[in-house]
Amino acid sequence: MATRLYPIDWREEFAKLRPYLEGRGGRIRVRYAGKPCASSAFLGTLKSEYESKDDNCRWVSIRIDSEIYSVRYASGIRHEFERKMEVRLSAPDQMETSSPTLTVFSDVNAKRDMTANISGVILHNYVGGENAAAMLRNRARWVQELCAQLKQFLAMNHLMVVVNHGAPKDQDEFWRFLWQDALENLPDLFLVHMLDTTDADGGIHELAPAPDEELVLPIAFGLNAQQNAIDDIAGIMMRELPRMSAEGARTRADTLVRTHTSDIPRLHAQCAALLMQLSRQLG
Amino acid sequence: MVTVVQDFIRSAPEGVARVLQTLAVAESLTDQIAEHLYSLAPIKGLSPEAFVKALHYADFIAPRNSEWHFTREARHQIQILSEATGENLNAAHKTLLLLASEGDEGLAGSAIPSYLFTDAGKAYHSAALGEQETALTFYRKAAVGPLSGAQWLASKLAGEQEQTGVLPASIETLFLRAIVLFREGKRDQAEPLFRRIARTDSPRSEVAIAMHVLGNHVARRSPKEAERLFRRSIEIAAQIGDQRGLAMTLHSLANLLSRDRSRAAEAEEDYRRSIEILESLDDHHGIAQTLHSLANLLSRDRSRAAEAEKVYRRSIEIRERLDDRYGIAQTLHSLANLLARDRNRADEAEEHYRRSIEIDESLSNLYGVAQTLHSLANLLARDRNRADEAEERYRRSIEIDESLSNLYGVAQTLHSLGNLLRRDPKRRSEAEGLLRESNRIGEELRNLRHQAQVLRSLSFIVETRSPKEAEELLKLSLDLNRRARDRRGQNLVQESLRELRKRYGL
Repeated sequence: MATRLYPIDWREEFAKLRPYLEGRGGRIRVRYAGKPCASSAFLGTLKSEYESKDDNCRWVSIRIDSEIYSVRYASGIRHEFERKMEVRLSAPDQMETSSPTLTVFSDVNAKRDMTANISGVILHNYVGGENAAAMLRNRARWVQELCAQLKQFLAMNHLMVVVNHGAPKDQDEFWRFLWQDALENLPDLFLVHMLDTTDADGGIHELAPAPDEELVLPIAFGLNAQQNAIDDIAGIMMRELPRMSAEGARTRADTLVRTHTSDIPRLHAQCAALLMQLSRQLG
Repeated sequence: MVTVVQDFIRSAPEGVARVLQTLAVAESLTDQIAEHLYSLAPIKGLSPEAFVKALHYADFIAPRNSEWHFTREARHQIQILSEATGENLNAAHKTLLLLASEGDEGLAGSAIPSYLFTDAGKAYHSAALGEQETALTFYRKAAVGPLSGAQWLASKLAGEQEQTGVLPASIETLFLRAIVLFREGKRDQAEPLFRRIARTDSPRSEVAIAMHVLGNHVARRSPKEAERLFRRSIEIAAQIGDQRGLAMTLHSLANLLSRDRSRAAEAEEDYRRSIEILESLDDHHGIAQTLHSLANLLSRDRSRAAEAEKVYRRSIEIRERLDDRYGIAQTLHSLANLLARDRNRADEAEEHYRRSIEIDESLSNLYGVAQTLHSLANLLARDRNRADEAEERYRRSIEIDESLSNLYGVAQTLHSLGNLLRRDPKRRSEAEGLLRESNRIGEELRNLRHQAQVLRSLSFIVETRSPKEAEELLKLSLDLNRRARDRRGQNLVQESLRELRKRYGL
């Protein structure tokens, strides 16, 4: 069972997300301006909010992230769907691979007046000496099977796919092979697309969908947000530390928030540190 | 400025820096394993569960699907702390390595971090424990097979361990990093790494492959260097008995030699040698591919067209047996190119192009569809009555190439479409716009040969209103052909210049 996390403020953002967190499908883009927005903590909380429901449905989230090895390429993403959602996808055809050893393959001339540019995605298939045809066929088949099973799953259950920020080139396999003509055809699926607006290498992949709604993560707390954060941190303390008094929790939370109004990541880290200190003191 | 991590360490209970450093030996964690590692160096009075639960509120923790990790920056800041003892860290590495070898793989990704079951994880923790030989063996193993997340991770971890001095730069780690960059299409970043490997000139498969890859990479700009690299790669492959490597490098060498018409015989010999080796290995896929290349070579010699056709058909036959539809589509395209030369066989050519497109469409191979539509349009454009059909194909090809961001493809097809439209005097200005756009893309891609060809085509439109400007365009084209060392292009442009001057008395 994953650790249950509760939001520290982000009230406005979660209010906009509410229909989706209650099960509606759709596409959301979350823009944030780099580190000050604490996007990791936001995603941790979002995942926890989505997956922790007390009903008879299954609420599953899958994160796609080019910085995480297991979900960087389509083959790994397939495996994560199999593992987390228990979908059953047919085994790849036996491929006639070129070699059990290290191999490369060279371009072939495919056009009368020019050398074919076997590059980009197709090159990936060739360079390893793999049988490109079989790879394409296998992928097309399992993506189709995946979509069919997800459609069934979504009839009763809920799925959120979070595509974390990354260079469009590094996300190409997801958008090209899994999203286009596949997951995009599942209206009940909830897609969250994170976008760091300060990343010069970033940008939106050409196949990423237009969002139904856009959120912008704040970089500091306004007055209302401060009050919300105090309430939230006090609530977290009360839940995690049964021996903590309501007044004590509120005083601690108030001090913490007032000293970190313009630094959301630091507030989160300090909240973690305080929870550790108090756990130790209160047992 | 005090970082968030430093600030956290100051405010959290004493001993937290030691715990963080112990946890940060892992590439990723699950709560269960984090709690286990915590117990190796615990904070007095704070339970593992409470520690891990609280830690999740920190923004320097990033969630995965069931695991989590320290953000890259935080992990680096934690790793350079000197709070945990060598004993603590070794114990953590040993614990993780033990899980890698004895853990239940069924729990990978849920209770046990999945990376531990990859060669990357095993290599990483072995290296950290000073078991260099074992680590290098795992890193070497990680480089084998198609590009995967585990391979990418291995290359990332190997790079990290080289940088921190845990491992010296070795052929294994350099190769792993280079091949991942190369497979991801980051060829320019891969090149210096491949060069470092090639310079060792050791009789090893990685060195032979590095030379082979480099040879292909530099073939356009430096054919002599490419040939030297291919030949040395072939020598090494023969020396270490790597028959498949030998066959593939012979194929690449033949591709290179075949560009020089005077060396066609040498190229043919190398293709045939490659096929012979592949036959001995029963590598039908390789045989079909090399037959395709051999047929391309033969088809350049008009007197050997029949022989080329036979070889293409053999390649297709093998690919049909293998159900290699991707290859069938490619070879049908090439065969159609050959047949299209014979005006009496244009119908056959058209049929093959159409079949090739159909197959590529069924495979969602848009790249192939765009290329073959371009070739089909070239064929249709010959028949003045079918210009509309040709135009439609060109436009579809451009549309697809644009969707694939294949700028070179767009530029080439704009050129062909421009040439088609300029035949109609009423559409010359439209044609001029297309050719100028094609030239602009050529400039952007720094493709001198393409620019030279387009400028020549453009001169034919421009001469009707300004022969002088057309002459300037041809001079520019000649210069570009010279810079691109394209002898054939130079001859063509010189001929066009002579005719233009004659027509207008320039």
